[in-house]
Amino acid sequence: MEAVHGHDHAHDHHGPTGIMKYLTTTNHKDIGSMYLWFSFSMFLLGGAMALVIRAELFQPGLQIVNPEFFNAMTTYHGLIMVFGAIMPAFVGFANWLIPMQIGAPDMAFPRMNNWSFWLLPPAALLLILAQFTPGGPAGVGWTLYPPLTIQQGMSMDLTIFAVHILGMSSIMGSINIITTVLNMRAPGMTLMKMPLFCWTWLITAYLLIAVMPVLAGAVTMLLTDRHFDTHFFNPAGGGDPVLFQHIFWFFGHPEVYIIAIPAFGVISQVIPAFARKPLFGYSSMVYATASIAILSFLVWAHHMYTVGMPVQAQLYFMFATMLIAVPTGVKVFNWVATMWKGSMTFETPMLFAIGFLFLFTIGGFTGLVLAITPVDVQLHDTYYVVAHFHYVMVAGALFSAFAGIYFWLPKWIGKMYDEGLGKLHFWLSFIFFNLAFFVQHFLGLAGMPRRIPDYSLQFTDFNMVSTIGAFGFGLSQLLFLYIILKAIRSGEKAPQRPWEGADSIEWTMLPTPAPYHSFEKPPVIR
Amino acid sequence: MITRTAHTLLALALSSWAGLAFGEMRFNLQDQKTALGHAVYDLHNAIVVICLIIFIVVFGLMLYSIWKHRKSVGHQAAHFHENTTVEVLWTVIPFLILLGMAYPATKTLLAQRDTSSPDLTVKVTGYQWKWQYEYLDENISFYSTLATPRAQIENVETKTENYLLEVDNEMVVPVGKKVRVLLTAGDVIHAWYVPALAVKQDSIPGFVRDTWFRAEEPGVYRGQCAELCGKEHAYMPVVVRVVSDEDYAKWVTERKAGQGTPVAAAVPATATDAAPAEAAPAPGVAAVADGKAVYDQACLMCHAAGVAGAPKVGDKAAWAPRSAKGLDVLYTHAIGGFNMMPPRGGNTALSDEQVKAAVDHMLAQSR
Amino acid sequence: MDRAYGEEPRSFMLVSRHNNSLSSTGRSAVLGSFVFVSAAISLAFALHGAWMILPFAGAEIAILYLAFRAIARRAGDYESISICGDRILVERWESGRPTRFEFNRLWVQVIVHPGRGGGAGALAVRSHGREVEFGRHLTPEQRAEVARTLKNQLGRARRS
Repeated sequence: MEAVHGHDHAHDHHGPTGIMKYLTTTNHKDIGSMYLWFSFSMFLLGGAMALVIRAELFQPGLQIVNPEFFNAMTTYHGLIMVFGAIMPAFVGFANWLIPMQIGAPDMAFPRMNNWSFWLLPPAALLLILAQFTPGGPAGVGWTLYPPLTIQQGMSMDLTIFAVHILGMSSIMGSINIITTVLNMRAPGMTLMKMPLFCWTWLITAYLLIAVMPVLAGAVTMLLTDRHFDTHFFNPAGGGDPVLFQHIFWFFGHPEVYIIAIPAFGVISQVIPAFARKPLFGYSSMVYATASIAILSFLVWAHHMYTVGMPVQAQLYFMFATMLIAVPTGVKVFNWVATMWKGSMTFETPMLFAIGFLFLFTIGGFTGLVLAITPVDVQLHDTYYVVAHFHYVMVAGALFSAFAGIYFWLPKWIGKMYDEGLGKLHFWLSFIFFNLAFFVQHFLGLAGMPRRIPDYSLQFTDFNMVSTIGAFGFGLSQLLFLYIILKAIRSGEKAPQRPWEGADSIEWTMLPTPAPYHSFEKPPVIR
Repeated sequence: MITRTAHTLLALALSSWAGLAFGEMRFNLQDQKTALGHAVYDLHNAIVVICLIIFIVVFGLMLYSIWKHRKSVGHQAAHFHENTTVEVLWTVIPFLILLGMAYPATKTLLAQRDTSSPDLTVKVTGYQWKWQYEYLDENISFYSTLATPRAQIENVETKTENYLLEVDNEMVVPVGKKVRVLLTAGDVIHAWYVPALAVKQDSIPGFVRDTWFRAEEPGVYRGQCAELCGKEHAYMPVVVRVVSDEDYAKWVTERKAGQGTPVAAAVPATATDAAPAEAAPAPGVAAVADGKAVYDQACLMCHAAGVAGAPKVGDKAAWAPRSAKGLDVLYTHAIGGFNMMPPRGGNTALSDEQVKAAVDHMLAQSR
Repeated sequence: MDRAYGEEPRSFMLVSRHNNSLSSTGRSAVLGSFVFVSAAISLAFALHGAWMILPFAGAEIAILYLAFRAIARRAGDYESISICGDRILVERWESGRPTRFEFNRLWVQVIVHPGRGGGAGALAVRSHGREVEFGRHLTPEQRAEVARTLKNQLGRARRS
């Protein structure tokens, strides 16, 4: 009876098969892949919603949808992209890469890892169901500002529950990441030797743990205001609608960095690999990332310059926000310095990384413009803001996710993608992205408010350009799907280290494709 | 001068980017019609130019590196990965640049938020989906709704020039006068936004916020609600018509005549039904004047809009039960605070006499 | 339970431990920092009327605490194999629970299962059809070495 036969062993491929395999898996690689596929399907869904928005905005007047549905599209496009697409994508990267990069067999809590993934599909289902409830889908924007939220129908409640579930999933994911990174590093893998990607996720997980309860509390208070006669935010009962905005953005601003910081991590792995030169200023990168994270707690109200805060508060938030430019600048300079005097080649991951660098910096500059309170008062809630955060989220986070996927795909599946098609995917994405979003700066400057289904005639030309760009961008992503499927089905076999300059341990110490359990026994890092 | 040149450069750069194939496209903020707007416009241009310069320098270096330090031209990778001097430099220099930006930004912000000593105060209330304008000094009040016909929105008729930016009743203000706009809302949050006048302020139910503008030249300035407020969010434009003093006076007279009802402020107090005799000692003329000043400064924020349960000035029904309690009770409440009302309206510098004068003023206006 | 130790001296002992890169001080510091940050944030909001953040922050800290406690319990896990006179002891300490297996020194067999990719797989001691695994916290090379050493020791024992 004591004969314990290596039960949790390498040869546990004889577990359940089919759907049960995925429902019950506790393997970090299976879960990572599920996260990535889930996020890609959410990306397509949210993207389809964006195309509804852009199609309606192709011309002034109401053509395709009514204003209620339009508002629902802006709301759920935002929620789905932020919580369903971008965040899970980077959690997928974390699952795949962190154990491989620190020399651990798996995540610290594999079963919790399984739960945190399987919370996502029900949440997504709730968000989809919310489109079909009596009273119509909620049209409040992803920011969920009351009192408008209080007026909505049942779909609002489903949305709030979905946010709760997504938050729970994020918290469990973060706990797993923190414990894995801190406790499961191989002997010799000190914190300051970790690949930067692990550092960025450690910091991100800290941010998530700090702000997720704030979001959960905020939406719960919306729920009780709606149904249980509380008056947290309802002015009719002495509540304060601006308080919600403070709470929301106290979560929301760190959330922006929760999305951006892992992207920085991916870029910090990709650029040195293709410059064939170590990352410039590793420790200053770590410190810059940490200071961005800390600053992100101190600047939330720059999203609310027009609510009428005391002028002293506006001044403070303006200065604090401008300060973020310093560590962000350090990161950009470090990346450029990494490329400097390297021996560069430009495979698809590198192209996406350079595209990221270029466009993210534009997003950073428009962020600086928006930090300046008197200017922001002009631009707040206009398309300038829409352009700004799409430069940060799409050209920032999404491009870096693409860079990461092309970079690690050979390690994950053991096969190469089609380099020519990959490059085509980059160029199509790059051009159409700019076509879609650069012109939105001009729309915003000229005074076009965001979240409107119909606009006055002076905005027509740029809106047409933007819509064309958006459709081009959306269709280019189908090419991406094709590239991935093609690589999985018939890609060439990848060598252990397909990228000459890649030097973190998942490349140097693990075979390709990576074995089911990464490092069953800790490697020794020297 | 520098910013003017910068603007030209910027416009050139941007227009060459777009190829300028289209007719009338704007690449920058709308032409500003207020002094503050010019400051904001110049500030924006200055920041964009600074950003452009940094962008060109950094990415010039990057492109040079991409060009020269390629493997395909046989460049061997160097191995440096640290340099404390440059790292300190590129932390400190951006910081200094930011300091340079912060100075004009602070100056403009302080000007923007200075709503003191207005020539005219208009209270604007956002509703789903219209704006209400109340001229507090003139006692004019009207609603302003979209004038664009439904047929144009549904693409049945041809869209006219000011599609979606036209209203039935425009807000009319005199040129060159400092107009303070008090904002609140009746249902959800809206935002009152006129790009050419450089104003945008959220209107929040239960709260009063303010902003101001001083238009430099007559004209019609159009904007929109800027905060998502439900299905007709796109259909509640803001139109401000700036006219000469004479035209403004004429408009005021016509408005009042058109409104048809006698305006409380214009009619001398005729102690009638509601107020019991002992509660209505006719306040002296001097007290009225003094009381109005105090009212404008301390009480108006709440009592003009009826915030937090405050009785609105001019609302007879709201004031009747209160004045029934007797003037002394009102004085005591005003001085010592009552329910949501802070002592002395929140301004502890006021003397008892001043508070009493303000109460008298409000009573006189509300019966 | 501990009676074995006093009776005969251990002539040979091998211990293999879990890999923990976080010390117990580190664990407290990390957990403490979360408690501090979460409490500061949620109390600040509670003071402004938004008290509903508190229960969520509390629940989160509770989960975090459980996670860290689980790590702390696992941190002490070890396996040891020792030779005491004519007995072989395999002891395991898992999440605070000890398990212990005894074998007769003369009849025991050291087995190395072949691992994937050529290296040493699971290592076990077997006697009378009973098999107990040892060395789950070791690398393949280390296991191969442990196997050699053990065989050596046992061989010596039998010769003597």
